[in-house]
Amino acid sequence: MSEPREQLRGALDRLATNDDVEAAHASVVARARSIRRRRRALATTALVTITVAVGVIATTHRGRDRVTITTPDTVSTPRSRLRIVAVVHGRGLVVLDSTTGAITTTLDNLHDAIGAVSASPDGRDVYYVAGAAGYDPTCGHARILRHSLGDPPGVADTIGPGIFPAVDPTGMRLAFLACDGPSGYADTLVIRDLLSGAERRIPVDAGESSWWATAPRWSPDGRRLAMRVIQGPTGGSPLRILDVEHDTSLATARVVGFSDSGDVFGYLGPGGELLGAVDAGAQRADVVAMTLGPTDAVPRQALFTTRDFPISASADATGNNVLAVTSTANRNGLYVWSAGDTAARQLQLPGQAWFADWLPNPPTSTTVPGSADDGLRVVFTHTSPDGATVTGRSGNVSIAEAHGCEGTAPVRVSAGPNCVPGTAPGLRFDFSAAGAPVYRLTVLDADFPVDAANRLRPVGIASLIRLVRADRSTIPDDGTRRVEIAAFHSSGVANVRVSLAGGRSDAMAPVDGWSAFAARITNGGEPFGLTVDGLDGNGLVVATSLPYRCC
Amino acid sequence: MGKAKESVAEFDAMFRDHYPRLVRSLSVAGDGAADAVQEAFVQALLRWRTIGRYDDPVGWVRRVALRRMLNEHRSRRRRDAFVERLSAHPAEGRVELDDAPDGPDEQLVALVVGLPRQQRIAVALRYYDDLPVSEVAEAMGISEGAVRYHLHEARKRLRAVLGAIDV
Repeated sequence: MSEPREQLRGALDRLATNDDVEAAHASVVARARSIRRRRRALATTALVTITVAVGVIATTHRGRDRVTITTPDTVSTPRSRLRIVAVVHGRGLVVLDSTTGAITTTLDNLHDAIGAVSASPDGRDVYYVAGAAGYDPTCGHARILRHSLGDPPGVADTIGPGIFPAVDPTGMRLAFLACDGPSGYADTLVIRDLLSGAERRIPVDAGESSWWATAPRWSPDGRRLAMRVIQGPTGGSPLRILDVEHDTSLATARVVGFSDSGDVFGYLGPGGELLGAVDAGAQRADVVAMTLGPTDAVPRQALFTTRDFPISASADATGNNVLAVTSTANRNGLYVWSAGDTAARQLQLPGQAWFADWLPNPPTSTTVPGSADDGLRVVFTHTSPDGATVTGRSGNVSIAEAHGCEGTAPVRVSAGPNCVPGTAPGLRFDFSAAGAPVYRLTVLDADFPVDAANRLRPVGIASLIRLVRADRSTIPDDGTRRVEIAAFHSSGVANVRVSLAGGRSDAMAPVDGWSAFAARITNGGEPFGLTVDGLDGNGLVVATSLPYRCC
Repeated sequence: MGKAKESVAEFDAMFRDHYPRLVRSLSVAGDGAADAVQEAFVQALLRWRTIGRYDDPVGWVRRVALRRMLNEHRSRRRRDAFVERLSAHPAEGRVELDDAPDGPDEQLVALVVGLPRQQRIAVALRYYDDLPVSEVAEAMGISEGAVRYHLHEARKRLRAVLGAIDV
């Protein structure tokens, strides 16, 4: 080891501190016990809620040419109730009732680190970041996922590398940040057309690598994006408002000044005001409506007060409902306020949270056009830019019309009696069997033949996903360390056991409707076969994703 | 001994073996190391049946603790002031030699403290914890290239009182 290195080590050693091991150990064990007790109490409450609210997917009307599917929301969620999707550390994405705070759904409990979240305006999709927590401005292995909340909820699919997603008010574009440069920081704003997959990549500042941006927020008219830009160690972090049509860099975007003792989180309602917070002293903060002037933003009205300063806040499309998330080492808070309230309601979260967003109620029912044959139905609903092609052939699989179900994607499809080619890059399949609930499977860039037995057979990169209708699915070793599994059981709640080839049980999970869970493969590098068993009878559908080394 | 007790014993052993070192190395990287490491161990204990089977559970704890430190830092920073004038806070920004203490060791310590956070973390993990660049990248959740970039920038700043350091 060189001498300068020793000298540096000595300097670093002077900065290091020690801690009492035994006292720390006792504290850790006590805190873990306390959390377990709280989780048990929450689980009891959640079980009652879930039993009522989830998994009810009823085919209410079957006509000659169409099937109407009633979503869980029709059954369980009154229209007046507002929903919130929140990111909870160690728990994943959860959907809460904004009135009672009850958790109605856990969307994704797969990931240890989850970053920002944004819900589509129709409430059907949630975009979120896995692989980066909180306000981490570096991309690392972070990627943006989309979780469909349709009927029934699907598994997550990957949009691509990036952080801080924000869906625009039309639901057609996704803004997010990417790290294109060598610094590893968020130095590029990406605006992706969710239909065509076309992207615009806008540098934060093309000439300055020490600049990076934080969470972008769309204006109500979808013409501007507001975000803070960190300008290196000496440059501050002003709010910048990008004119999406005209600006070519955040460096040229409009700079808006405001109080040093405040923060701005986004827009508030259709009027174009900003939503912010200012320090109210005594460890409290006022969440405020801010008037946006030519060069600055000025607090106009205090909406409600929070204990601790919010780390994120969001308003719904009307601007009449606002939530704020606070988080300190000791306390977490989710504050919910509606116009006319004198104070915000504070909801309890099952863990630390950084981000939450309003989740609009989706339409109460969806009509899927197509013939009501006896086979599986495949519906293409989405496109992306990677050019993957889907072709299929089967005896009794027919393709439904390319649109309709989700109302989102024009897809080129031509269908014949036994031939169903279609070009739908980065697509999503919905499977519906006569007399059975809809199966939804989200597929990444893939080339999927459908074989005569109505199974999707992976080819090449399509090994990312496979769908097997069976009580047992054995997944071969592909060298990855992590396998994501989604399972659906047509006859209700079932137990699924995931086990390694060696017989060691790795995970056991209840499947209730669509369920997604993860099995981490630790087999010492030896080949493995992962087996998913449905323990309670027939009708198990298993979809697996064999994607990445993660977390 | 039952499997559950065996598992708890494994956790306890890992805690006692690695907690002091993790706290020391992460305290070089920034404030709040002990709290963050403890919180990471709490999370590890809650999921020990899974995490105990990882190839590198200590690496998992380090990553979680580091993330928590970074998030705490950001929350605090956001609370304190929106406009982040780092130049007004020498502890977070560049420390000029003119402002630093006299002796070379003191100057070096001051320079390390004054490194931008990512650089300081990279330096702590690489040169104090002796982790290879790949593990530093894993812990920081960034690419190896980004780690090398941070180390390069840090070495440039430290070079005023320190000779060249091999990566």
